[in-house]
Parts: sequence; structure tokens; C-alpha cells
Amino acid sequence: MTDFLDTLRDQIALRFQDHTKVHIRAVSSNTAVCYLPELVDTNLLSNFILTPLQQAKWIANAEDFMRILAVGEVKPLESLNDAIPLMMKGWAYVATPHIGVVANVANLPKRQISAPENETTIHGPMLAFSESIETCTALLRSSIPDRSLRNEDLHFGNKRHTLIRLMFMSDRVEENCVNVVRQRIERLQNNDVTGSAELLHMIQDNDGSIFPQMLLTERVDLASHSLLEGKIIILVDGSQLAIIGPAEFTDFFLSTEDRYMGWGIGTFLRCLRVLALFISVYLTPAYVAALTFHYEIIPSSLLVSLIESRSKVPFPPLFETLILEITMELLREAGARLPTKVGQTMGIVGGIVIGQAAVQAGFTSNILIMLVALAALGSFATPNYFMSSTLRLVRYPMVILAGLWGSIGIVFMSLLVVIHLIRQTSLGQPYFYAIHPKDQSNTLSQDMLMPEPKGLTSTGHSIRKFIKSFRLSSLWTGDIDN
Amino acid sequence: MTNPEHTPAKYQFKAYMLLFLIPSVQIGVGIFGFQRYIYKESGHDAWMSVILAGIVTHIVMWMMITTMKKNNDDDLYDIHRTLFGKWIGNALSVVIMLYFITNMTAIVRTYIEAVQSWIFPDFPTWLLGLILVVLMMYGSLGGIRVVLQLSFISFIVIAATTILFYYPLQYADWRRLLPVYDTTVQHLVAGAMKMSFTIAGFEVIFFLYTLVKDKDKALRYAQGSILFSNLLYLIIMVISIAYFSENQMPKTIWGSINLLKIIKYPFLERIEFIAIPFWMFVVVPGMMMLAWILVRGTTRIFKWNQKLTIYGIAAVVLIASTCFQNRMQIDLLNSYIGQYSVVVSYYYPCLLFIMTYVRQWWKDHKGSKES
Repeated sequence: MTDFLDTLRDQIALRFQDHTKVHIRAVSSNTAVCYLPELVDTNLLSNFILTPLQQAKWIANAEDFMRILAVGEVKPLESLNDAIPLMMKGWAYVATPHIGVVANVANLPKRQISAPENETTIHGPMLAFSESIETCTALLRSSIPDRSLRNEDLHFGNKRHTLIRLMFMSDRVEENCVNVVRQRIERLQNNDVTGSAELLHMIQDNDGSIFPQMLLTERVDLASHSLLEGKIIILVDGSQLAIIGPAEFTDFFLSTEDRYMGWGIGTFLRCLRVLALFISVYLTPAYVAALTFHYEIIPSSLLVSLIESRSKVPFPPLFETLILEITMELLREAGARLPTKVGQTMGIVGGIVIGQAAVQAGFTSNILIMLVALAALGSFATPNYFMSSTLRLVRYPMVILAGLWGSIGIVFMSLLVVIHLIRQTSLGQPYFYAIHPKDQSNTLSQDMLMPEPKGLTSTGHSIRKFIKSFRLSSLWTGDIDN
Repeated sequence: MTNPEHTPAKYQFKAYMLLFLIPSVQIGVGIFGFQRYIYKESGHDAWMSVILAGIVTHIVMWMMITTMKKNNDDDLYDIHRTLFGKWIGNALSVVIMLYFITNMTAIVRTYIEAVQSWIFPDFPTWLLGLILVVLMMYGSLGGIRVVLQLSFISFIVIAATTILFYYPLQYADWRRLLPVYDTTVQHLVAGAMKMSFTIAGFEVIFFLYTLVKDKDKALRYAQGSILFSNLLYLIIMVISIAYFSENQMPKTIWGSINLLKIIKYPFLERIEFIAIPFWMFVVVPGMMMLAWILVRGTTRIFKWNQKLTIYGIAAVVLIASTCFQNRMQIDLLNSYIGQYSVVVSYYYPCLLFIMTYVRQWWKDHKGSKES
């Protein structure tokens, strides 16, 4: 009779090779429970697995197990090999000579739900995703308690067995997009990912582009809004960022807070962000172009003060700007890497020491410091961190081309970026629209946050009808011909 | 591919897009300085020539679309084959393609000339040509969607620039328009003919119409697009006549740019230094559209590789545009193209229109005889 326990012990030892400590608790001569002690909840284990097993008289088949074991998830298994990945995740393996089942008694370390740290808003719910995929799913399900919210689990990776979960509203999502995501994730089966940011790069349409093609967010309200808009959320176990796709270029400039502020202020804020986008990309290149080639466009009264402030500077505008822009980047990067308490000194170093001293030493002009600071402010106004980094990166070639070819260089670079954006796709959907975005009837009211007309259906409204005729989704082509 | 019913729905677009597509080809570099050519012919009644040219264009547009409707919504390459047979038809298609590539060269070269005479006198021609051609290649490889989206941006740029023309109005002397009709019909017609280089480009409807989703609305929007560019030309012409004096006008090569030159804001003046580079947003979609038409043709007739064809077009345009050295040669090129485009976009559609009707009559006649 103890043969069974010995065999089990041998088999476990063979598979784990003594490196991993597996507890084997013999309940009776032909029943044993195996688990990794670090990962299981001991209360659950003793109250709902061990106690019932000890009291049980006769166990013949899997159904008996289902009756006896008082935990939510119990699965019958064919062999011990199938049990190992689950045991590594905190499940307990209950074995008898004929059958084995696994029961979920996991107690994996997880963080409490906390407030979003990187995507802060002034109003709005203070809920952020956490590293546990169960918590993330629970957060989304509790915000959208609807049957049509589906989730679909995909496993990923050789070693890590990462769980990837797709969530979407089955009645709103485009089935094509879900298929694209499935295919891409299946194609990458054998890679290992550590988090959603890494997965994003693996499954996005064009990884050669510097523009992010899908959104990453830690905010639950943004994710649930996107679900309602018919987008797909991809959750990765162990990562507190959710991927939202397909995304459009404009999505990166919208904050959920705009919706909480009412349509007037919300629209104003969105317009402000568009302005910030232009300021952050064009301000310093325009300075370089104007002072290198096009003095004529600056009115004479303004030109005097410009030249006065530049009179001590020995460098050409291009170098002057590049030096200051890179200093700015260094300050930002150093501030991001330092602990918060030390980080505050960065402000003093940056603002007073470098700013003031650089002008007095005759390195840069006062006006340029102001412009670079404005450009930096503009790039920080973009709600999405990945997009704001990209925009800062776009500025450098723009500055250099402005120094080489003046305004022609700036326009050349802008056209290049615009054409590049138009050519991108996100999960097979067009990424950038110059004319009207999205194939939805209430698009304008979403973009401009216009109040819904009371008592009018969207189809009965003439402006809505007019806007509807401006849909562009049918324009997508990938080929030159046709 | 010859039958439009085989064009997948996702490549098609709504008719209202013609509103942006046609002006993006029509309005290009001609608008920089078309005033003096017309003024030379019809004097201060030049605006009447603009209206005349506009009306004729509307009629021709109607003919073009009717011709295509009669030929089961085919594009020009297919119409050539049905009307003239395989060999002559293809030869005619090649002639049309030659016209488009010459047109493209003229656009590139005239734009470079504008940049060189206003902003950078020493900017090498080949480098500017390369900039334009690189943008054209990169965009064309993205397909018609890039053209569609960019043409909307170009539409905004055009509209925004038009608003700027309010500024010269304060220096306008409206008496310069008087007396009305101080010329002869011959001069008016001659002036209208000179509009051809500026107004040409609407013949792209011959290739776009096949891809329009709701064809019943195509005529409406195509006429609307022409109306837009005609009104734009008319506004600029009227402002120019009122702004420039009688002796100034024939000497002003870049009339429209001169109008922008005097605009002054507290933080900005000499708007042309911004407007001319930004006009690239208008020029490049036009080039891309022509390249797209050319590639459609070469694929259809010669079955050439599309990517290589685009590189080839880019190389030809780049080399050809560096061959023109000075203002005289560019003027000559533009006036030749002007004459060429009168034939291609006015006489030729009339011919096709008549031939289509004759062919139909012939078929009906034969049909009734047999039965």
C-alpha cells in the first residue's frame, strides 16, 4: 500500500530534481497532496482540502473529488506532467493510485489596488491596474457588468507560461481585430515576455516606427471606456499596464479627464493639447530656421531684442539649440532615475544653475531658454508618456534639418512624419486620419465632447447625419494599384 | 482588374472625397503667378477670362463623367481600348502618361523655381528636386489612402492661405476693374486659354471615377471641386487686378506671392517665407496622384513592377527637372504644357464624348438591322 506513496515521491523527485521543495502530505495510504508550500494558502489547504479528504471514506473517481474538495477550481488530470505547471502557480495536486486532480489553493503575493501613479488626473476614479491579472479582470468586470464583455485566455512563452487575456465587448468589437491579435500572439508562442510593454512591441503592426501603435495604460477608467468604444484590452499577467488596441493617433492626446470636465472645458483642454503638440514640435526648429536663414520674417522691433540676447553667443543657432535641448533631456532623464526625495534637487540644478549660468556665461540666449522650456512643457502636456517621448525624438531631426535647409527642412520633415503616420496601421486598422476619424456615428460628439441632444436619436439629428457622411473607414488601401 | 466590379470595396472611396482630391491636383504651382499671362491677353477684364475658363471646365467635366458612365464606369485606359482597339488604345494611353509625367516635371521645376527666387537663391536644384521626389515616392508606396488623407491637409492649407488674401484688400483700388468689358471676345478666349496650365488637372477624374463608391453623387462633388478652385482663381484674380497697377501687373512673375509679401503681424512678417515651404503640402499630394495614375497605367499596359515603376518615375522627374536651367526655359515648358493640356483636358474629352455616342449609335443601328 505504501508503494503508491513511494512511487509518487520518486516521480515528483524525478521531475523537480530536488531543486524545488515540494511538500507531499500523505492523507491516507492511498491519497496524498503535493504542493509548493510558498505558493499556497495554508488555511484553504487545511480546511477545504485536507480536512475533507481525511473525513472522506471512499474515493473512486473524479466526481468524488469534485464532491469532497471544497474549493472553487478543481480539475482532473491525465498525468503528473500536466500538473507541474499548475503546481508552479500554487495549485495543489491531489493524487490517488488511479486518478489525480489539481485544486486551486494559490496565494500568490500581490499588491493592493492603488491609485494611478503615472497617469494622474485631478478628478476621476483613483483606480489603477495591479500586477495580478485576476485583479485587473475583476476591476474591468466590476466597471462593466455586462454579459457581452468576453475574456479569452492565451498562454504565451516557453519558460514563463505567461497568461495573456484578451478582453472585449463581443457586440462592439471588430472581429477582424480580435483575429489579428490572436494570430500575432500565437505566432510568437515561443518567445518569453516580461510585461505588456514588451508584448506590445512584439505584436504591433510596424515595429520599425517610433510612434506607439497601441495604448498602454494603468487607468481602469480609460480601459473600460475603450472597451465600450469597441476596442480590445490585452492584459498580461505580472504587468500592471493594459494594452489598448487598435489605437488611433488622436487617442494618445485624449485624457479620460476631459470627459469628467464637461464638454466646454474638455474641448478646450483637447485643443490646448493640440496646440502643445505643435509648440513642442515646431518651436525650437522655427527658432533655428528663423535665426539661421529667415531673419526677414521677424519684425524689426522683435528682431532687435532677439539679436541683443544672442549677441554674446558664439555658436550658430543650430548648436546653441542642440546643446540646450540635450541639457533639457539630461535633466529629465536624471530626474526620472533619481529617488523622489533627491529628485527635487534636479529642479534647482536645472532651473537656477544651468539656466541662469548658461546665459551669463554666454552659452545661450535668454529667449532660447524660454523657447526650450516652452517646448518641454508642450511635450509634457501629452497625456501618454510613450507618445510624448516620441514627440521629443521627432524634434531632433526637425531641429537639424531646420539648421540645414531652413523652413524647407521643417516642412520636409513634417510631410515625412505625416506620410509616415498615414501609412501606419494599428491591428490592421488605419492609424492616422487627416479627415474624419472612426467609423462611428457619434464620433464628433466624442471628439469634441459635444453634449448629446436631448430627446433626439443620433440618426434623427441633421448635423450628426452630415458628419456621418464624412466617414473614411472605407478608404483603406495597402496597395498602390486599385 | 479591367472591370470596375472587381475593384475591392475597401479600395473605393466616397464621392465627397473628390472635393479634396481634384483641387489637390489642379491647384499646384500654377497659382503662384497665373495672373500676368491672362492680364496680357484680356487686360483688366482678365477675371472674365477666368470665369469663362471655369464655365468651360464645368461643361467638360460633365462630358467626362457622362463618357465614363456610357463606358460602364471604366477608366481612361479601358475606354481607349474599347474605342480604339488594343494597339492604338494603348498607344494613346502612353501619350496620356507622357503628358502626366511632363506635367509632374513642370510642377517640380516650377516649385523649385519659386523657392529659389524667393527663399534660397543658392539652393541646388537637384537637392530640392530630391526632397520632393523622396516625399512623392514614400507617399506613393503607401497607396491611394495616403493621397486621400494628404489631399485633405492640402485643402486646409489652401483654404488657410486664401484667408490671408484679405490683407492686400486694404490696398485695393477697385476703380482698376472699370470699365467692365473693355476688350473683345477673342481676347477673352485667348486669356481663358492661358488659364489651361493653372486649371488643368481635373482630368484625373478619368481615373478616379472608377473608384468612387457612390457614383450617382460623383458628378455633383466633381463639379463642386471645380467650383472651389474656380472661385479661388477668381478671387485671386480680382484681388490682383485691384491691387496691382496697370504697369505692374505684366511684370509681376509671382503675382500671388507678391500679394502675401505685404502681410504683417506684430510677431511675423513676410508670410511668403512660411507659405512657400508649406505649399509643399499642396504640391506633393498632386505629384503623388499623378504617380498613382502613371503606375496604374504601366501595370495595366506593360505589367511592370509597381515599386520599380515609382522609383523609375522619380528618377525621370528628378533628372528632367535638373535639365531646366533658367526662368526662360521654365516659362517655355509651362506654356508648352499649357497648350498640351488644352488638347488633353478640353478637346480630347469632347472627342471621346462624341466617339462614345457614335459608337453607341452604331451598335444600336447594327443591332436593329440584324433583328
